[in-house]
Amino acid sequence: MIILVASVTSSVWLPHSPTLIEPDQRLQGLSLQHWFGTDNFGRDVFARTIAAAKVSFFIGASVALIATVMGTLVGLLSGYFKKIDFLVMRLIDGMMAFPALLLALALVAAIGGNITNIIIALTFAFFPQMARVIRSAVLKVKQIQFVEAAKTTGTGSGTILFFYILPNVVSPIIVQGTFTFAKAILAEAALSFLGLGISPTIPTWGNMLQEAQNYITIAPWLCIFPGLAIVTTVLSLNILGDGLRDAFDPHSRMKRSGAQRLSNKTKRETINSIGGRTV
Amino acid sequence: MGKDLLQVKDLKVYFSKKSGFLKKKQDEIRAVDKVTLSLKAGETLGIVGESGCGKSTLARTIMGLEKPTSGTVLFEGQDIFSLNRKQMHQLRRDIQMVFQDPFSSLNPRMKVGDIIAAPLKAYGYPNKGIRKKVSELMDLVGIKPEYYDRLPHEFSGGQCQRIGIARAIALKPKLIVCDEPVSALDVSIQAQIINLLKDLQKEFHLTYLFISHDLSVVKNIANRVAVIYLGKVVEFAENESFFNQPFHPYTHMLLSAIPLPDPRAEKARNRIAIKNDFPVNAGSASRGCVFYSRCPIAQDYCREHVPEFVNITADHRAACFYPVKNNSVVGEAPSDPRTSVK
Repeated sequence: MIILVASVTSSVWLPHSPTLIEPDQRLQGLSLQHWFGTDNFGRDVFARTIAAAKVSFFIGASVALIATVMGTLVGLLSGYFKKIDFLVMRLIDGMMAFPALLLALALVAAIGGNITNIIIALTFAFFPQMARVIRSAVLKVKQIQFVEAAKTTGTGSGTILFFYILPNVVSPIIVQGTFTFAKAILAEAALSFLGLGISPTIPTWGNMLQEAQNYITIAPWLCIFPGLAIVTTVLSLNILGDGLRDAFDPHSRMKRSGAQRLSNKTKRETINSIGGRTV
Repeated sequence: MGKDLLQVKDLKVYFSKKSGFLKKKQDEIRAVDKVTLSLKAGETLGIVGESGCGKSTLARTIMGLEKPTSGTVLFEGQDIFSLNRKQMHQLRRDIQMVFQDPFSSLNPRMKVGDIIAAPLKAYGYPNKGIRKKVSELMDLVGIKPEYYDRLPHEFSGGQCQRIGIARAIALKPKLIVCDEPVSALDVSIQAQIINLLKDLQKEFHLTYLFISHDLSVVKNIANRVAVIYLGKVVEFAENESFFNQPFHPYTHMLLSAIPLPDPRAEKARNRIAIKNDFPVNAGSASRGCVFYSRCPIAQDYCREHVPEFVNITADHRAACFYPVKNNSVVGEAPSDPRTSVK
C-alpha cells in the first residue's frame, strides 16, 4: 500500500517517459532496461503502470472522499430525522435501481470523458450505497440510550448528530469509504477499458488493459502488470479499511497501547476510592 | 414537605400495534393507563411493578420523551406538554434522568469528563469553568477527577452509574427521574449507589422519582410507594403504611416474593404463589379488574367491574374491591363489595 503511494509521488524519477514512443523497442519482453517490457508503441510498461497509478489514485480518492462526505451527510440526516427519511430514501432507492457502473457509464457518455466528469459520474454512482449504509448504522445507534440521555440533558439535535451519532458510525464510514475507493478504481478501469474513460494519451490501468487485449497472445506482460496493479491496490485498500476500523474502535485502542496492566492498577485504585466514600 | 412539585393526572400512553397497512384494526397496548400521582418537593416516590408494566414508559413520558395519549403532567403547576421547544429546553434543566443501563447511557466515544460536561455546555455554562465544575461533580459522586479523559468502557458498571448520576445533577435539577438505576448492578454496588443518591438528596434537596422492581430497594429509599400493574396504579401509600399494612393482593404477592436472608424464616413463611403468567393481551382488556386473572382472592364481581382507586385509609389508596385487611391474604370479603367501594 505504502509502496504504491510512494511510487505515485515519485513518478518524477521514472527512467522512461510513460508517453515516449520508441518504435524500435516495440513489444519487448521483460528486461533490465524495461522492467515490465514495452507495449505496441514501444512505451515502457513499468513507467506507464506507475503513471497510471497516479491517475487511478486521484480518481479513486476523489470519488471516495466526495461520495463519503455526501453519503454520510445524507445518511445522517435521513437516519436521524424521521420526516425526511422517507423522501430521501425513495430518491436513493431510485438511484440504486441502476447498476452503479451502468449509471456511471451513462453519465460519462452524456457529459464526456475527462477526469472531472468521471469523478462526478462515479460519485453519483457510489454515494447512494454509502448513504444507505450510514443511514442503517445511524438508525441502530439512535436506539441506544445515550442518545436519549443526551436529549434529556438538553443537548441540541445538531450536537447529538455530530458528537454522539457520527463518532459511533465511524467504522462503517471507514469501511464503506475504503471500499468505495477500491470500487472507484475498478470502475474507472472498467470505464477506460470500455473506451469511455480518459483519453488514451493519459495512461490509466483501464486503457492499458484495453490496448493490451489485442496483443494478449504475443505480449502477455502488457495486461499482466496493470492487472496485477489493480488487484494489489484493491486488496490493500480493503485491508487498510479493516485496519482503520480497528484503530478507531475505542475498545481496541487500549489494548494496542499495551495498557492492560495499567488499567488493572487503576481499577484497584478506583475500588479503593469508592469504598472510602460511600461507607 | 412542600407542595407538589410534580403532578401526573389521568395520564394515558397507548401504543398502537400496527399490523400491516391493509388491516385497519389496530391493537392497543395500554402502557400507562390513567395514572395519577403526585410528588412533593424533597421526597422520593418509589414506583414498583414487574417488567413490562409501564414503569419506564411512565418515566419517559414525564421526561417528555414520549407523547401521552391523554392526561397531563404538571411540573410546578405547568403542563409540560403545552410548552414550546424553548420552554421545554428550560424545563429540561429542572428534570434530569438516571438510566437503567449504565453502559449504554454513556456515549462510548466520549471522554467521561465531556459526558458530565454535556448538560453544562447545553445550557451555556462558561467554557472556562467547565473543567473545574466537572471535577467537583466527579468528586461528589466518588469518581477521581483525574479520570476526566478516560472513556466509559474503562469503568465498571457502578462507576458508570456514578458518572450518569454526576451528569444528572450537573444542572442542579429539582427532580431526578431514576429509571431502575440499580437493577443492572451487583447487590453490594446497589447499596453504594443508593447511599450516594440519598446523600445527594440531602445535600441538594433533590426530589426523586425512583423506579424499581426491587421492593427492598424501594423500602430503603422511598417516602411513598406506588405499585403499578399493567399500566395502572393499584396501590399508593406512605412507605411505612405500605410495608406494614398493604391492601392490594398484588402488593402482597410482590412482598412475599422478596427472599428473606434467614433461611429458616424463609422456609417458615407462607409464600403466595403467583398464579398464571403475566397476561399478554390484558393491556387491552376493558372489562373487570386488571389483576383478575392472577388474583388469589378474585371473586366473580371482579371480573365484571373495574375497581376504583380509592382511599382505604387517609393516606393509603388502593384499587381493589376486597382490600386485604390485617395482613391476612385471604381476607374477609365483604358480602356486598359496593360497601367497600364507598
